[in-house]
Amino acid sequence: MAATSHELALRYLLELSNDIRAALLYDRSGQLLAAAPGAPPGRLAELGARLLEEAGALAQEEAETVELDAGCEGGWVFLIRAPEVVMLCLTERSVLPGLVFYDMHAILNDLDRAARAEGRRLEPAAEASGVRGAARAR
Amino acid sequence: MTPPKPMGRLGGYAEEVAAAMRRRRETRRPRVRVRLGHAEARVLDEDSHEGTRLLALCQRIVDEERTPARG
Repeated sequence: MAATSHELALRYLLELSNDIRAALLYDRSGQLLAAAPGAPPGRLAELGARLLEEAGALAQEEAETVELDAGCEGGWVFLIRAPEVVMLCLTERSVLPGLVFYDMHAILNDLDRAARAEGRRLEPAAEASGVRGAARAR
Repeated sequence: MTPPKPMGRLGGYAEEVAAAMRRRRETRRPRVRVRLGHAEARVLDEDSHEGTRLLALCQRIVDEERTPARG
């Protein structure tokens, strides 16, 4: 099965940063969109969805961006709640959080740019089909 | 200007090592940091309700990811 653009973006993130062990991408409702390097093990996706819900509860406004990093025994958890999607990454303990966030933001910006470009590409087509539909109705 | 005495120089090294150890301990302590919008990042108080809950959840996420695949 061909990889989705979300999966490709996460794979690129793992290539960009050797520190990131696993990356998951959700939509804002908590639906898993993609994971890398493979399907998330066990209940990881479910626990990640719960974390994004908890992180969202910290925000003052619905659209507010939330960044969270947690240093735990055996690893570090990073989360960015962007306007459209939520990205969760897991790393080793010995990382520089600023660099991990930098790489995550780079990928989120790419996804956002791609989504906007896709929107622009679809708009004229939709308008043209709308015009054709109106002409046919006449 | 007189050169620093050997004992003084050794004391300086010891202080630097101690400071590095303190920094290392500080960065390795479990903690949750949150940044909302464009505000400054803040470390959640580890005794606070949200700090404890989020840290426990993140620890479960790390443990789940590190657990070898079952089956």
